[in-house]
Amino acid sequence: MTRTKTRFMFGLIFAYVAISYMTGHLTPRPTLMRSLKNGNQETQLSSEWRSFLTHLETIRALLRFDEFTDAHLKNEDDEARRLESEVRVLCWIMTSPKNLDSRATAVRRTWARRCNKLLFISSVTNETFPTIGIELPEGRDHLTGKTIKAFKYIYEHHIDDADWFMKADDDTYVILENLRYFLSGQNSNEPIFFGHHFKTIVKQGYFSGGAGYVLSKEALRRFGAKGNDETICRQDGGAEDAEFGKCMETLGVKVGNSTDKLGRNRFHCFDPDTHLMGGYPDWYYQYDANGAKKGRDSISDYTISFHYVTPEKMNALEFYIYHLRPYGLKSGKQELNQDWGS
Amino acid sequence: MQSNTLNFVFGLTIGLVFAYVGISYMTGPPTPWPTQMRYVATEDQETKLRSPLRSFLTHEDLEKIRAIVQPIEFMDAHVHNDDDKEARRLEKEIRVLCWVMTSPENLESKAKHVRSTWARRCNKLLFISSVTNKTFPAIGIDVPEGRDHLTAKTMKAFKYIYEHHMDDADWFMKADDDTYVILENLRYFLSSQNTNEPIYFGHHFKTIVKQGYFSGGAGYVLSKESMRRFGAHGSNETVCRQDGGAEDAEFGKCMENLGVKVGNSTDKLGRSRFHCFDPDTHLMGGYPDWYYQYDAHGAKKGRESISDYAISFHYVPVDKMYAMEFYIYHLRPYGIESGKQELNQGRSS
Repeated sequence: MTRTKTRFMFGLIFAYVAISYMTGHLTPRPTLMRSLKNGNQETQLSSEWRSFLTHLETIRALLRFDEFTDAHLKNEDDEARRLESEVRVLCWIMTSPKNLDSRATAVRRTWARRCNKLLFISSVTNETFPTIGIELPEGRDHLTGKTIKAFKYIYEHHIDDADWFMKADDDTYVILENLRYFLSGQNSNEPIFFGHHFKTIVKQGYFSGGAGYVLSKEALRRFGAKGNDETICRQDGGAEDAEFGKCMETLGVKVGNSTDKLGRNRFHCFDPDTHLMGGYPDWYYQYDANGAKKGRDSISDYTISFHYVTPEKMNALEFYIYHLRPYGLKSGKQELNQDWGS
Repeated sequence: MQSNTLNFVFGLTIGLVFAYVGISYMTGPPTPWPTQMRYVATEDQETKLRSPLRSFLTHEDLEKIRAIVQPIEFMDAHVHNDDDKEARRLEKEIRVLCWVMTSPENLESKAKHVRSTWARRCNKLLFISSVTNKTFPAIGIDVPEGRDHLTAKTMKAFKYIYEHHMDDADWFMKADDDTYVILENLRYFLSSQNTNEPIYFGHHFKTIVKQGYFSGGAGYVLSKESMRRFGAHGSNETVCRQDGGAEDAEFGKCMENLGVKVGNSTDKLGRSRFHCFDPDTHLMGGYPDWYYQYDAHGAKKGRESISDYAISFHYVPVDKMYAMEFYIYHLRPYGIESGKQELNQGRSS
């Protein structure tokens, strides 16, 4: 080979190798994939990836693949997106170290990614999941303490991140679009909160913890100002939702009405099948403030939450609500909000 | 510039071009990555999670509830503001006759709820039992009850429909009393098919019959030409076994002998429309072992294996039928208008 041709080949090979090396090294994707494959359920993001991601972004980075798979949907979701930016919801999920892999993961993978801000609150801090550790032992005796401390934490760190603040369990399923639709007719500067209404124990009633309840900004302010006073709010022990309900009443926060225009509930204590068939336990008939209805009359089309939802059921609900469709039926917009505030 | 350097630069340029083209070609479009990540994510959901199905309802409670289930009325269609023009148009153009295989003891416990839920969307609906019941109504085929005679029931049912109802529909679907069918999606799929072809559709099993056959429980639907051929030769014992054996496999052999082809009903994304099990099972993939030998499409599982325009599910208990009605036709996320997806493939064969 002549010298010129040698130089030519040298240049060719050099360029090819250089480009390959550079593209191989600069793509962040292989790092992410390797991490996910290695850890069974642990998601070990590499440190440079993690360093500039906050909680929700961390979660969204793991879940980005979902957006690719839904691309064929051709949904018109302008209205839902508009509400997403106007009615900001912070969701905090009460969980525990043993439930991270099963329930909390399912929550994160399904409905909770639609929250504007998402926090998992546990008894132990876990940087990779991520969860915030409240220093309290696990167990039903400390659920009240967990709730009080969680809201305190949110008041201190996140009150500007949202307009409404929702508590849910790790076996609660929430349809965020419908929550925002309902809240769009409410005023966050009122001292008010919403959920599934129980008429017992507290004078104005209180909300079921499992069905989830959502506080206005004013309600959270009042809680932040006085919520740590033992004479106003019990700091631990008792039933979490009832104690929190008493606390809210003492602070002057009203129990709000979230039934729709047809009188149907939006927050639910049980899973959908139970409410449709009405297989309620006896205590429910004493507690429910709306007559323990069952069947069609008990569930709004724009339902917000269900409880006792297993991870498998969460996956199924995602499929039913956001994917399975009857062809040729374009669901219309219903006016289901009531006209008065509370 | 020296000619040596010039050549080097020239080589470098060509090398860069080749490298760019080569690497673009090899890395391809970004889609492989989401697929892999998706696979990893669903892998986590192996059914080692033993969470209780219902936290306080025992199996006995569930049976008690099922025994006294009253049909739920979903009569609020007027406030939905749904735009169902397309669905109504298809309802007129693609007439479907549904026949539901049932039995006297299942009329009140199962068939009644089929009638209250999905089956009322059929253009023509027949319940076929071993005993005629004028009030339900159910047509009595003169065949004893029991799994040994399901083949005869099916043969006689199709014969009856051929003799009395050929002109009432364009397509003829068989379902069980624990099958749930979404008629709008069935019509959408059939709108891309030709009923004068000898063809039928359902959930494809690759065993027993050479071209495969369709699961009885998932439901299968015959074209008019298939019905004609069955009507002409179906009672001939040498062409179609008249009783005994597994109903769906025997019917599948019968169809093959009549020259009726097994059609492909997967959607454009390769997802299934007719299903052998209930939605939760397909979503989680808790399949029995035999399914992996039988299924013709790799026994896929997870949300991505089911078409958004799914047509049928099997082993759906009564309370689940009302739940499905609620999910499919009532529960909605506010502000998301589901768009029309183009999921049909070209002509099937």
